Amino acid sequence: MYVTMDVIEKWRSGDVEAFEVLFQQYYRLVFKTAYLMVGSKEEAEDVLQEAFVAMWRSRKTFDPDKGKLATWLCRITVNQCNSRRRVKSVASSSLEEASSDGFDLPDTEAQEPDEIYMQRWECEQMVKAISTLDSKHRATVVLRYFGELSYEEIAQVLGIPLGTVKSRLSQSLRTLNQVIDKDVCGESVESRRAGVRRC
Amino acid sequence: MRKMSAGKRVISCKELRESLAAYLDDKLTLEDRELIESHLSGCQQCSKELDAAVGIHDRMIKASDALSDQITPLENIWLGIKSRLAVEESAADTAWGLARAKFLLGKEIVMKALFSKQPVWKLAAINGFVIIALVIGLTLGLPSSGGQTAYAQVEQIARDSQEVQDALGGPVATVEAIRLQGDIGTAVCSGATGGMAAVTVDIGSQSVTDVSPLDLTQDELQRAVNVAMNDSRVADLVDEGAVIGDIRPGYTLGYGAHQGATVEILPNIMITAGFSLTMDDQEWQVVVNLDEGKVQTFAEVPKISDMLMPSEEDTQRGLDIANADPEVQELLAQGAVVDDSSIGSSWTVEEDGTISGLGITLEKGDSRWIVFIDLVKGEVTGVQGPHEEISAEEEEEFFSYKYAFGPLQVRDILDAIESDQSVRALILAGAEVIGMRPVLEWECDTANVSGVQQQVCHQKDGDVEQIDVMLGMGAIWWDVIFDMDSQEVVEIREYSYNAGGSNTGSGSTSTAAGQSVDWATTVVSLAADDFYIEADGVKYVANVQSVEVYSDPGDSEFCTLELTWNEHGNEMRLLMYFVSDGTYWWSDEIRTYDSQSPYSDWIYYTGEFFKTKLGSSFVGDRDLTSDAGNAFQGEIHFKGLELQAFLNAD
Repeated sequence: MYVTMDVIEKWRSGDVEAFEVLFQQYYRLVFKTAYLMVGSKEEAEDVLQEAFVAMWRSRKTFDPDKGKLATWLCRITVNQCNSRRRVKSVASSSLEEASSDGFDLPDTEAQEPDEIYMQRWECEQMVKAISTLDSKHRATVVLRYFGELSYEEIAQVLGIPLGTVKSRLSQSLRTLNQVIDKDVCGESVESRRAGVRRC
Repeated sequence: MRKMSAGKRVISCKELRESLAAYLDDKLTLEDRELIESHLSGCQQCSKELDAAVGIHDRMIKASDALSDQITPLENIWLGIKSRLAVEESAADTAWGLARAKFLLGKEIVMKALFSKQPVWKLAAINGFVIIALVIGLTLGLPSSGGQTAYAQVEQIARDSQEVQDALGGPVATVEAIRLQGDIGTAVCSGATGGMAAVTVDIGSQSVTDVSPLDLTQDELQRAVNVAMNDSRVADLVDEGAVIGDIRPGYTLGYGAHQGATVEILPNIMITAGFSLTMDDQEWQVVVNLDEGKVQTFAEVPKISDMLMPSEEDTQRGLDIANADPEVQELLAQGAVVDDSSIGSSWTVEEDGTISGLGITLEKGDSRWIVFIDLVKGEVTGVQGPHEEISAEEEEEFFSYKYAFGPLQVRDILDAIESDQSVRALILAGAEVIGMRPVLEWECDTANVSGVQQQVCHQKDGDVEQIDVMLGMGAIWWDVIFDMDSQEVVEIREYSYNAGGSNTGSGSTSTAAGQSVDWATTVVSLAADDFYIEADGVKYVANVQSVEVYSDPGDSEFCTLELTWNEHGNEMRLLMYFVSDGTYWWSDEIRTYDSQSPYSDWIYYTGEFFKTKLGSSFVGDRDLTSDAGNAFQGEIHFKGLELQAFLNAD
């Protein structure tokens, strides 16, 4: 089965099999978004669960005429992430603090070919840089680059004007450039493996 | 915002930088693109910005592709989600099932008890009957059903299993907390001789697939004691000489704190260790949740002497009165017998605490008669019946069809009430959902019932507008009134079995955004539009429904108001000492706890507060600051305060 209006209608009427089809279609999107928003795999798995349980509970409120399912699901995911961030900030353990230790990307294997290692390392640098953005900018960047949502859809998910999406993305690119410049200036694969920084 | 320069539109460096992402994503109009490109051709700095943005933009796109390969969730995450859906729906069924009390006393009276808009004992004012025992009965477990529902099948298979009986050391007494996930049911079985076991049943093969006795290991016993002793309420009592009784295994239906703030139904039954603490003639029940490592329940056990229950003499006298009644005699002569389980199940309590009436049930075959006995007049005031015992089908129709009270709606209501902060506080403190009932409107008329003029009430037609979700913890329960229209909790009423203590007060706090309070005992009343305590910088608003209110009635020169509640995971106390010189009253000392965990100490406020003539209330606003010598500082804020002490002064 793949996602058709028929599947969506079945899910809305309480069909668990149809819901599983939707899960298989969208879980990567939700997980990737959640991971980049909350910063740890375990928490992202929690968000993934909560988001799909919320999607199930709220199935009757989804109106296909008002937008795409993926957009609606991204909104649920971002809301779940934000509510976690609020809980964490109440408990004096902000996302920023959590991510200061770095995201828990898988350990890079010492014997990996340089090309793959570099790719992993590059990805890790980008993810770390994203974690330095505040939650509003982070959500915008994550939805654009990792959720692959259109500007209009991002505006819908975050409830902000289109112009704000454009300016937040531009500001974020600028900030990310500065962060990466500062953090990894010229660090090579070899020097990183050797634990040496060139600057 | 475009600037005009010599008739030509241009953009500033700042505007260009705000538009770079849209430029790279080709989200600009042709005109705007041309403006940007024109600017870039003459601005080296902005060209550098563009190069940097292109670099990051490309790297982000590559990172997005790479991340999908590097980060994947657990393989079985769908199974987890699927089981959550099943658990949520079966938990809703369970909560609903708990509300289906056994219909001991016949249809009408039970319906009145279950569906009255009034708290159960307020029925006394309408019908002359209080049905406390029925409400207690709701907590006792699922009803035995003769139907073929999956729940009934789980219960029957577990009951009949030799393996379960062997594990329990005898026959199965109760089967509780039944949950369903597809064809697999789990339940907790208790033995007639005291054992307890978690049982898994496969409805498909009609067999028990797993039996796990709920025994506590030595390590668990020790851990239960350690956890309990870390709780200041338990530690204080033990310090004062309270004795810890046998530690028994138990379970909790699985409401749990998740991430410290949200509450969810957990998929598994959690094992608890419970024991009693006794000191002199007082007893407390302590339940430790071993999974969460915390005291889940701490409640003083009401002494039987404090409960307004009929004595043996009352019961015997009631039976004698019934036996002397001609109508009852006729029924008995026709073969009806007294249903023993009905004796002591319903009684009438007057406002002064006297037991003035009893209800018993006669049964013959499927027919039941309710006999109303007036202990003051010494006569039977009515015999209602015959009522046919309600069938499983009727029960099903009554509960699920008539009120469209399906499991999903139950789940939705539970979700909604859990988002209410006061309800969440109660659940985190250990309260559990024990039932749910629609709040119905009643119309009452006087009618001739079996030769006696009585008030007879009928349910008004119309949709159910409010649902009463009953929460219970120890000797306290709450009616959480949920409005179907606004989808909000509109009222929380607190009740306690302990109605005997003359100095025990009543209290309420607003469920709205404000922190209005209203507490009263027989000697002191305190109401304020806005109230909070700040202790060592932590704000306490008493925005919980379980504030214990107590007064030492003292004498004509001295009395107290003493409030205790839990907030932010700490116990908070507010003690106000009042004195009088015969003309005026005032408070000369106020204390609060200092917000330190686990052992709080006092913050003192001394002075001459709220001085007012005896017989009058102090009215006004007050902000009090603690004495300078305290280890931790505090403030108490009252706005719109109305306070009166020595209410009993002549």
